[in-house]
Amino acid sequence: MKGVVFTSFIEMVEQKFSLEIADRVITGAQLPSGGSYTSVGTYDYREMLALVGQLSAATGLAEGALVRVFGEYLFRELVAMHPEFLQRNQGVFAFLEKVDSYIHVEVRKLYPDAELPRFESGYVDEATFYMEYRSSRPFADLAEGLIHGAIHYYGESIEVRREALDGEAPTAARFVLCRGRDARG
Amino acid sequence: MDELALLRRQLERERAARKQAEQIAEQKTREIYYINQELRQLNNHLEEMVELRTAELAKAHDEAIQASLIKSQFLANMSHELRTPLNAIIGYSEMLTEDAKTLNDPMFVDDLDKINRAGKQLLTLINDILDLSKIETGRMDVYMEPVDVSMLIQDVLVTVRPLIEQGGNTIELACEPGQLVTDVTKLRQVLINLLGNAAKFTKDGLVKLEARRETRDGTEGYAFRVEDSGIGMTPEQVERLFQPFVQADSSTTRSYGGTGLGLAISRSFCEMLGGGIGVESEHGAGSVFVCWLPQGLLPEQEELRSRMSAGSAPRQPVSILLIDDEHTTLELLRRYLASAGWTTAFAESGAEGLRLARELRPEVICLDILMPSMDGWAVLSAIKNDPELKDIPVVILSMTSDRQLGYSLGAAEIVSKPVGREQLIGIMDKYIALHDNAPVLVVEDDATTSEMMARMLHKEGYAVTRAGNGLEALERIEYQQPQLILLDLMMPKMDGFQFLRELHRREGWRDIPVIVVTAKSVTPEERLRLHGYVHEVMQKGSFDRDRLLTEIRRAHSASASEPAGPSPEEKGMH
Amino acid sequence: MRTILLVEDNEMNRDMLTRRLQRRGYAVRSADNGADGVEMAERERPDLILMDMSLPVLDGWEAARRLKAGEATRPIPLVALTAHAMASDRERALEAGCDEYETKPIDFGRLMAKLETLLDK
Repeated sequence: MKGVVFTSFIEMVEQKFSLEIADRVITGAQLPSGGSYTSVGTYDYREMLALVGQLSAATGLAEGALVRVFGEYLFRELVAMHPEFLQRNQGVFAFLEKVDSYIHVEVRKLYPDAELPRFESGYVDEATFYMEYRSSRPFADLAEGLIHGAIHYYGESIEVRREALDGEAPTAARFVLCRGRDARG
Repeated sequence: MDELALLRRQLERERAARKQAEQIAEQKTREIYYINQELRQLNNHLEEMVELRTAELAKAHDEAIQASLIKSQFLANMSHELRTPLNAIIGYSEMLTEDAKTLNDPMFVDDLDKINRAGKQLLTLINDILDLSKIETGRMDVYMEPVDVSMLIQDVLVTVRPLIEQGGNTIELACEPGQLVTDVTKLRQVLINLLGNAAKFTKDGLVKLEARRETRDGTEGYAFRVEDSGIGMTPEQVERLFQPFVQADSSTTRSYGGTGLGLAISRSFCEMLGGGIGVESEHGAGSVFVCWLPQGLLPEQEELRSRMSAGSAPRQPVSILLIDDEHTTLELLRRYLASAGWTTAFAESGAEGLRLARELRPEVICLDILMPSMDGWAVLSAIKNDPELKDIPVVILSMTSDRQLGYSLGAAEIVSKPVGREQLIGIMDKYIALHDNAPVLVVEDDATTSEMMARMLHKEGYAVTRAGNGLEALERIEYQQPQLILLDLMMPKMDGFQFLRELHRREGWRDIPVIVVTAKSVTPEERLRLHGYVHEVMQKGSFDRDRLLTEIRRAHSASASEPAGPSPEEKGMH
Repeated sequence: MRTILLVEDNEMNRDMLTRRLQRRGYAVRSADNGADGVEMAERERPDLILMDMSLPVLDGWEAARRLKAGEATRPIPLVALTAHAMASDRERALEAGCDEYETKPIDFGRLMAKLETLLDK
């Protein structure tokens, strides 16, 4: 998993909680990397799982919820790093459609053997869009968070419904986005 | 304390992360370096391969030319080798026939006659094949001279009369007296072919030969009409008529003999001379063949005409002097260049070339390097050492690749033969300054771009002034009004848009055509702003040299030929 | 009897022409190269010279020029026999001073007519 995810995570914990909690989470996770992450590096995804686990224990918040929130936070970070990509797309649906092609192409350019999740998307009708996340890693919650981050960024009124794929496994999920309904009932 | 430890740990982590980042950076840098190395090697290898390939091509080219020369030589030799024994067969059989006649032995006479006829047939066949071969490889020369038509017809009839009368046919002749300038040998061959065919396919009938003046498409000429009352041809047979090796159909070959080459050759000859052969035929009722040839030009007349037509040519009077000893190349080059509208003069030897150069002062000299009578290099040297001639650009047409020698002796350009039409015209275009040193102003702040455009225009014959921004440009125009402005948009002090506004304020200046050449991507709004002010907007980096030059020429000639606008003098140009 | 000098290097052609000319009542002398041809012409002063243009030792063109340059040989009618039928060859022959020319393969009847015209002058 790319270093940028780890660095963002730790920043988020330091900001939203405290330096102390961040320190506790890192130390508690007993990470092989020692918690030293650089955004251009690559690290074992299990360290992220460990960190999330530690954070959940330290704060008493559910892991899934934490990851979703992180997803939104991460989205904002990514926007800051690659503004041009978002400018190119005028709306959430358009943006999400391009995720697979653009992001993954860009990532693979620099990291040819990166293991990336697969995104499949399409229009059910003009106001309804679906996106399917499939990975070997259990980060469906992260994907959900990123989607919400996108919706926030574009300021559109879109409702997200999550459906399970492959049973309840966190390695896959289907998100159905409906535009124009009440956001977040 | 606790907090200190916390901070220290964080610092440690940061430091470790930084070191890691540095390592990654170094690794990436190394990778880039290695890849660069590989690329460089690949590039060198590619260049080597290109050189190799070029050398191979040059070699293949030379070999092809060699092969072609060998083939020519072979043809010439074959011609001689084949004809010599045939002469013996024909000659001796004729002689023995005479003897047999005096001995009064009709059977011998008959047999010997057969041998004689067979020999003559073989000779005709060989001649036809060699002719066809020459035509197809483009080695058939054309020799123009005036001929008295009546005398030619009489001469031809003498030859074909026995053949015609042999079939019990009668001959009718109508000839409009006059002169025709054409290749007489070829015309004679065509007429004998047509009359021979008429004789062959007609029995106890009539063969008519008519020669009359006829103008086609505004060109004067002569039409030779051969009519017979023979077996005629079906439409299908007519269609296949002029194809070599196909007689109307194989049954006719068997009954009437012949090779079917004659008409193909006749048609080629007529076309070579600027005319053509037509046929009308009805099966069972006979055929009419009409050969029309235009009044040709003698070599001296041709030269005179091209010199005289200089005044009426659409382009300015320009002449190119071609010096080449090979007649076919000269013809070819002349045809290429004539169709581009230039007037040409030609010389077949170095000495004549020098003489003509001094007399005509052409704008460009095209020189063949390999000439037997006078070494092309010597001619080039002589031209460059003559104070009157040394400024005329010389384009060398060469089969060798002594480029260095050529350039060092002062050749402007070296082109390898065979030279293509587009290539030649492109090169000529470079040196024929149609632009008469027209002043052009280049307004561009980037020194390199400015330099490049200036050089390009200078080569085209324009007189170039440069300015680094709008203000400077306005000053230059005050000093000397250009006939065209090349304008960059992004410049300091006064940018392109402002400059244009200023330009437009002045009465005399607003008609100067402006071509905007800019790296900035021009938005539609900007284009609108520029519209009416500028002649054309071209994107730097996306335009190519030729397109730019075409635009410049268009702009220049559009303004130069403006009948309603003020003349350069009136505009206040000095 | 009138004498014709035949300069021709090809044996068969020489033999054929010699016999046929003899049959027509001419005395025939022959040479098989240009140099000998010129020399014989100077020595024997034939009534007419028939010369093939491609000859060994001394080329036919050069021989023709010499014959027409020589005081003694100039008035002798010279007929060139050329192998090629190109008009430019004809020009060349006339330029070299030949009085007539004939292209090979030789049309004997036509050649005879030309010879008779020249000799009757």
